Amino acid sequence: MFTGTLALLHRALRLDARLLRTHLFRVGFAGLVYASLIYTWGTSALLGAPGLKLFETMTYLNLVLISLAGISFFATAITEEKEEDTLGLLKLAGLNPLGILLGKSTSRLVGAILLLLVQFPFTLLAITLGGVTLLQVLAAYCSLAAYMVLLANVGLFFSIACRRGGAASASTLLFMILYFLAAPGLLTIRLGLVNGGVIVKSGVVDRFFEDSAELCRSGSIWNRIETITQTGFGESPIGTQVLFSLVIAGLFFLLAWVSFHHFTRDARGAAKPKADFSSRFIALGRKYRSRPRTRPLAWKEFHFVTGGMPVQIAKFVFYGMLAGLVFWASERYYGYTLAQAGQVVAIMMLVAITIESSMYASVIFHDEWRDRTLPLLTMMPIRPTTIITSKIAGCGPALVPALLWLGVGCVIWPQGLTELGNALILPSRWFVLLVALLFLTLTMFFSMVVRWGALPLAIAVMALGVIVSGCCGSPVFGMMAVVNRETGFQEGGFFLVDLVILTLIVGLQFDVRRRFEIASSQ
Amino acid sequence: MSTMSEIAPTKIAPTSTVDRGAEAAAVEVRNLSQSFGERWAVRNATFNVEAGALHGFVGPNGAGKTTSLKLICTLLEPQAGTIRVFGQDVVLHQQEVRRRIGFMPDHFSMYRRMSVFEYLDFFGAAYGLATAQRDRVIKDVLALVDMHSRRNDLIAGLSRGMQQRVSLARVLVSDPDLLLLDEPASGLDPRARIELMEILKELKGMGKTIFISSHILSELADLCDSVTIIDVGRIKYSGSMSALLAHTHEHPTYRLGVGAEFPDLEQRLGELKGVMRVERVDGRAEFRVSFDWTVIDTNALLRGVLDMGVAVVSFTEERRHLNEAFMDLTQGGLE
Repeated sequence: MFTGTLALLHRALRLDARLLRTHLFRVGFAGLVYASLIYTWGTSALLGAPGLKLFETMTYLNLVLISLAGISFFATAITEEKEEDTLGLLKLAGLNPLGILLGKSTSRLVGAILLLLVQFPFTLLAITLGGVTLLQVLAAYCSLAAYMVLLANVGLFFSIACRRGGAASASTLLFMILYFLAAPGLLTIRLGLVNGGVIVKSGVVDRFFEDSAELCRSGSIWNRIETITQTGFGESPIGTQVLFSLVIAGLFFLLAWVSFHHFTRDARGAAKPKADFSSRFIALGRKYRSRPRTRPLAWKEFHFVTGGMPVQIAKFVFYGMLAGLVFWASERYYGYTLAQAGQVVAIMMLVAITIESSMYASVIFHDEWRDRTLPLLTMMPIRPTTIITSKIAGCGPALVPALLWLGVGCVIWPQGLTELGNALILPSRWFVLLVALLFLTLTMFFSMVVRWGALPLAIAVMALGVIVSGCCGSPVFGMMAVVNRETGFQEGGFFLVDLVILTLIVGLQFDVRRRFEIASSQ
Repeated sequence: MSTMSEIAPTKIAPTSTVDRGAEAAAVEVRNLSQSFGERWAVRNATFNVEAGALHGFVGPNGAGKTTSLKLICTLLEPQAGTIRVFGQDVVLHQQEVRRRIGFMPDHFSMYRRMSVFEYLDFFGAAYGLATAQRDRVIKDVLALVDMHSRRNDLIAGLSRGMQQRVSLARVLVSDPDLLLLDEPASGLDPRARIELMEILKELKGMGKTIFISSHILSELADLCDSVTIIDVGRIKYSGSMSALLAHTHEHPTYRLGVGAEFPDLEQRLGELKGVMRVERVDGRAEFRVSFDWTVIDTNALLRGVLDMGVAVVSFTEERRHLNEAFMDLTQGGLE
């Protein structure tokens, strides 16, 4: 068993060491640490405890990067073997499930932990800058490492259970959302139930909710980091969160091991889409599916990427139920007004639109690239620009359900329609839209460059953009202030920033077109 | 698989007849070169494919076949040299060229969640065919590839051979004049290969020009009118199939079996008109007789043998295996 496992581990590490991008990524990461250091040094005159500032920046940056790695790097450990039809070969090579799991997950975990270790000496600099103790640094890295182990094993399980990398990433993301929102979610439900008189305050059920929320809170990395970064931290470096994470990680690893045979019985067929969830929806809609007419590419995207009419109807019903739940519960159990509930629904729908559109952006070209159908599209007597715009246009109708409920939320929320109107006329609102567009364009771009993880990569680049613009944005902010002062138009500065972002989007769109042609000829 | 008589009434709409009289060669490649980094995929290649011909494009793995096909079908832009398809430059008239060609890549590029009909319908619409026209064309091409009964099946559930047929049907939906097929028979079982070759013969009969790549020359021997052999990016041969053996300087050889031994028979056979060489086969009463290219007179040979009073038991042409010729031409190895 261990010979095979070591062989897998050895292969993965060798491959990793040979790839230029691995080293570039590490250099980029070190550069990011260095940039944080400079930023801290630059702002140390204004802020007290520069060491604590550096320590906080590094810790939260790591938290974001580990979370992104969880939904991309770790969640594709086994699915990539399934998609390439090589899982069966690993089985034939005599590797048992435990060997495959250890071999595939350990190499990724080792690579990620190396990234964490490489920055440890830099973080120790925070102690010399002042405001942080060695105990805090050790505790933070123990917590982050435990969180990484947790995500690696959760990702491993979902990569066993799911057929496609995208589904595994989405499932891991769902787990993370539950992980972070479990404590406030339980407390919110408890509050509603107590307010509505469904359960007795301080009764058994109430205490159960409270204890469960407390357990989730103490097991959450977010709360742990908040505790660690407080001045005067004196707890053990290995706290409840570390133990909680390791236990849950172990459980997920066991689950992955036990269910390995069940989910990978037909390793070849595993990548076939005929039986998966979305295919069932597609099959359901086949009867009612229209035929392609003047915009066949848009037709294809609407029916085969977004799921067609059945999925849109299902989404409309689901969002409606969600909105109905908010309207019903907010007044009855939480004492919110209907207008406030409308605002909550509008925000929820904006989040849904962002998630949906980013998912479509990450797959519309990537799936064609993966299935090697891009040459067929390119060979059509249709210009590449038309192909790209048609594909994007085909995904547009899929946002209609969320848009409709957004409209409902805005109509009920008194300021909602004003806010929507502002989005049309105010450059500060355009800014939000343009940033979202930039993010989607970036996702499309990466989906034709990397094999997996385009979406997390785009999120990481956008996060980096926020940090860089925070560090180096002084000239821009200065320019915005000057424009505001001279023109008296408060939005003038934003208008300039919007122009910069728009230029970036247009430039990226050209590169998307170029990448499309390159990918087609490969 | 449909037989030829079953397929005969089927005619691919709407404009399957190619006006070859007014056409230039279907493909004209002149001094074509393409490199990837320091490695030459195609180097100074020149060849023609006549309109209406079934032309084989043969070479070992990594010879430059797929790159050449991608260059011809406009997926890649040539770094040097020119390619004309029906007289139109592939760089200057990219869209016009694309309308006239159908390309089938060497891998299965399919939308697996679509049904066979939806797949063809989508491509038909993309090529601008009206709904009624698409219905007619899809019916025709499905009949041609014998997939009509599977028209509502999901592509994901089809076997490899069936997916290949659907892929061929997709190429035919737009009714191209030139079909570029990159190793269409690779991965197919012998029966599927034979069926595919039958379909290609049908298509040739309909006036299509077919440019088919393969790494096995003998596979195309009975099918193609002409062939181009490429190795390490260089064209080793381009011309008719029949002249291929002549090109390799192999003399036509026959096997002659005689009823009984005759004194000095080997020597006397060598003296007959046009005979270059005579060899006895394994000590048996059988001879390999090679002729000069300029004088291949088998009648004179047989008459001469009979005049000697020797009974002829067997007389067959010993065709040198095409693979041997292929091996001779492509023995350059990797550069």
